[in-house]
Amino acid sequence: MDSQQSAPEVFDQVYLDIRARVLQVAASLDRIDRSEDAETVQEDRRRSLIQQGLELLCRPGLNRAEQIQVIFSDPYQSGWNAPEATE
Amino acid sequence: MYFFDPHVHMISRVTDDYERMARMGCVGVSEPAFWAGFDRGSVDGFRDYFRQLTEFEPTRAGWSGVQHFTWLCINAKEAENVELSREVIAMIPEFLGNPGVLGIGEIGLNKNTKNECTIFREHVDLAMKTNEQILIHTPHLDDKLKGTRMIIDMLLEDDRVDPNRVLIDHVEEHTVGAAREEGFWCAMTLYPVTKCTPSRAADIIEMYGDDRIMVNSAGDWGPSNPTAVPDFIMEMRRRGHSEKKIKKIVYDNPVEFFSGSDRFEFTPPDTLWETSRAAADTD
Repeated sequence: MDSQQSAPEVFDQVYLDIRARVLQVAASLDRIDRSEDAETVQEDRRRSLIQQGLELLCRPGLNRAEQIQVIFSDPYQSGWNAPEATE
Repeated sequence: MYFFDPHVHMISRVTDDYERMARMGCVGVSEPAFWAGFDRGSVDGFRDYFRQLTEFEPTRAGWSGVQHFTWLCINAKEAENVELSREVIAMIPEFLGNPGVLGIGEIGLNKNTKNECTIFREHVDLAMKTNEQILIHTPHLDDKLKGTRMIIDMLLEDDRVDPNRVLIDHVEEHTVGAAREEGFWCAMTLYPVTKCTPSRAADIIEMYGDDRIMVNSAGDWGPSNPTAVPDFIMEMRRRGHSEKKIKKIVYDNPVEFFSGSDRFEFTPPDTLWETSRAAADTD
């Protein structure tokens, strides 16, 4: 890990940015929920993906960005190009 | 700081963008062939496009003192038309001897379909038969993880492919590791919404190091910023990284990778004036 700054320095640098983005997410979800037919969005697969991403953010640990990318990704099947798989 | 934008579709940008890029330190660009905003209907449409990439764009870039290089292919979005794709692949060698052509690209996958895989493998075969480097487009959003892994699988199928002569582009947090583990070069695209931000690109550098990796703006038809590389430079400086480290990512690494092509006749900016004078003196 090649970071040149301490955690408090990084936190000072990004605090307002994180605060603004959390607010933007909250406002966007509020906007959906106050609009007509809000309940239909609850059935939308993409709303579930966002929920999974938000829950992951609340958990401790590293590599949150990579894990959220995986949540929003189609599954990969290894061996897809094996001769028997392509016949 | 001088920088090289190793992936930017200048054909979709105005001449003022070259000027702004040059003012911010851009000394070179590499422009892969891509989608024109519509599916082209004939091989002659591609022939005219390749003439534009190899003849006019280097001239237009030169008006701002930017050196222009290019890559040729039919992009994955149009690869669903297998018959046309094969006609284009057969025509590409007409242009491979032109100055500034660095190889085959940007080939890859878009929706990870069987036809896209067929045309990807045929492009790789062309690159191997003509001893060209390869620049690879990886899919967008939900398709990226699966498509990147499929691309790596197909490259590993072919014993002739040297990973050191292949650049896998548009990597993000979930794909950079797989590409690097197999020894490929990587690039991160700085897009406002759909790819990496300058901040996330800097995070990836801090986690994975600065070897065999670069950043680009990919500026194209959609929302994009041809001066995104300077934004990355500023983010790295803000974090306290050295000028030497930043220069390695935005200048040294692209120059090192592109030097794998015999047609990369790049004049470093520090000697550009002397080279121009020498050429004028011999006229």
